[in-house]
Amino acid sequence: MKKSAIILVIPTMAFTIILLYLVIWNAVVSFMNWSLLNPKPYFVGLQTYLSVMKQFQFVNSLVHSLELSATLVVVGNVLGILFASLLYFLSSNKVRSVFLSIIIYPLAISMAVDALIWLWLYNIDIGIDWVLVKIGLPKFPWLSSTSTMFPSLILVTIWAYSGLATLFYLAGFMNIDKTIIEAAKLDGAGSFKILRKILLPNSLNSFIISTALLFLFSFRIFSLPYILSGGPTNIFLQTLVVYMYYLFTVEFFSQATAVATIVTLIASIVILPYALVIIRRWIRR
Amino acid sequence: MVKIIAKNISKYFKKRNGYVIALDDVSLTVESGARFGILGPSGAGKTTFMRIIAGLEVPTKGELYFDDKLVASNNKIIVPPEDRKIGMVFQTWALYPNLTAFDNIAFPLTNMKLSKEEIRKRVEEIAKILDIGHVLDHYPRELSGGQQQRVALARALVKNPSLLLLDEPFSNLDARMRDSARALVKDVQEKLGVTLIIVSHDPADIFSIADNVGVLVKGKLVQVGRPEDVYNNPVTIEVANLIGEINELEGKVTKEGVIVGNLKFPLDKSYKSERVIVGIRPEDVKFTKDLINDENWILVGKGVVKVIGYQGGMFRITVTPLEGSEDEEIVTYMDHPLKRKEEVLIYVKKGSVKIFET
Repeated sequence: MKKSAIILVIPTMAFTIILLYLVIWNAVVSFMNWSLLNPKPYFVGLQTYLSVMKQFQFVNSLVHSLELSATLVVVGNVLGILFASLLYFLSSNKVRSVFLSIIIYPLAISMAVDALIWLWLYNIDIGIDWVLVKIGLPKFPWLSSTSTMFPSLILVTIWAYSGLATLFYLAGFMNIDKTIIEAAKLDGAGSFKILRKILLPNSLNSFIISTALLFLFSFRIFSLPYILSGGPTNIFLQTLVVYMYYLFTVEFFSQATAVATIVTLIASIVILPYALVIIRRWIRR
Repeated sequence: MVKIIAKNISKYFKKRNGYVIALDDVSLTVESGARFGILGPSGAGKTTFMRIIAGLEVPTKGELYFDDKLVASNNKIIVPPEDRKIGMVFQTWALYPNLTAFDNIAFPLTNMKLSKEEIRKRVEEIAKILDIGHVLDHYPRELSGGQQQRVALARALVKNPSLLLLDEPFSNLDARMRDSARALVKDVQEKLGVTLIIVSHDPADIFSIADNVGVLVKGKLVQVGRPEDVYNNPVTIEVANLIGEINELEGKVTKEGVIVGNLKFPLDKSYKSERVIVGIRPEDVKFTKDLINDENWILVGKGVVKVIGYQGGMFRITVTPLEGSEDEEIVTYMDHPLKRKEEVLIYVKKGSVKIFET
């Protein structure tokens, strides 16, 4: 290897080492029994994992996380395609930028702020319900009922992250040679047929990236459920990371790191094949 | 088959400060079934003009008729592109990368509510004419340049268009394949009788395909006529340059003729300006060591050989006038080489010298 190559790799190396150190340290702690009750921890093997996995709250939050991720991946992709095609077929570039900015706005501001906005909107006296009452419809309980709480969280997640998918699909569509679309128009194809036959089949990269990112963002989501539920203890809005934080606040350190390791493991298993596919496609070009 | 009439078409593009004029008051008629070429340097507005005809761009001013039907006028598209019955071959061919050659060609037909068998029959018919029947189940990326171009042509022709538009269709092909591709386009056009408009910066495309040519320079249509007439009687030195190689010499008008260094070119009429540009096609020049006794060739003076090149089986000889202006160059092609720095006599063909006032 050349000297310059080594110098260029140093920052990445340093960063990787710090990151891996923390991940490994986290994994090591998860094999101990460190908690408020055990200030002098020692290795207990898989015992911590077994005790965590037996807990109702763990299964509950795992199911929540998986439901949330699956819904966001499906709905996010569908909405992303819908918004991206609506934006793509706009003739004015200015109008397109305006709408795109609005759609990706939730991504630009802090997720905590997004959650606060929806806390107001979901308020049964002053938010969406105020409008519903004004036009003579019954109130919807949103965050006030245990059965509508989780769907309400999913709704906010979709609102916050669909812009991401829109962005990637729009970029993919715009990347397709404009003359191909013009040729299709001359051939008499309507917008829907152009979308179905030309834009979508040539946007596989957008699909891969947006699916991978939507999954990652929703699987390790924290701010939205944390703020919408007003703390880490509401089991109806508990996702894996919120539950991990809860275990930490009550000083079950090893159990918290065990959950963190499980989150990392599941995310890696889902993402690694995707990452490999993307890298292979980029290299092949 | 359709007759295209453009009346005073102008196209302005908005830029940050003001407008860019892409087309300036272009009026043109292309007869039904004719083959018309549009020649121009890059940036002259020829692709814009073609896109206006196709309906992909609206004319800022002016009217466009297909036969008697108004299809676009003054910033308004009246008949949208998909209803104009146009087949177009783009410069990049614009094949659908995710579809096989068969599906590419069939694409326009699938928008016409035809039965599967009918579509298959028509695709195979056109594929046979263009000799691509054996590659129909391949994807565009698996085809050679020539095959891709023929697939694009097949896709343009399969819907039986009344107008075929070709936008620099040969510029992405190997030089040795261009001639056969040109011949193929002309044959197919003759067989189908479709009106054809080809846009190109290469005079070879125009000579091999078009019966009439319009020359666009900086958005203006400066000359329309048969390619040979434009070649022999160009209105400006720019046009002369566009439609073929020409020697350009700066000269001074005197009573005896146009003087370029020690060379003296005959005058056919009087000119107002004193400085003119003399244009001579390479084939109208001869360099010899001995006198020629032929009244069709006129001696203009002595020159000295500057560069000897070789191109297409001929020697390309560059000569400068012996005295006076060493920057001026005259080029011709000969079947035998001359020596560098050799002195030669320069002859020009009678009546071939073109003089342009600046």
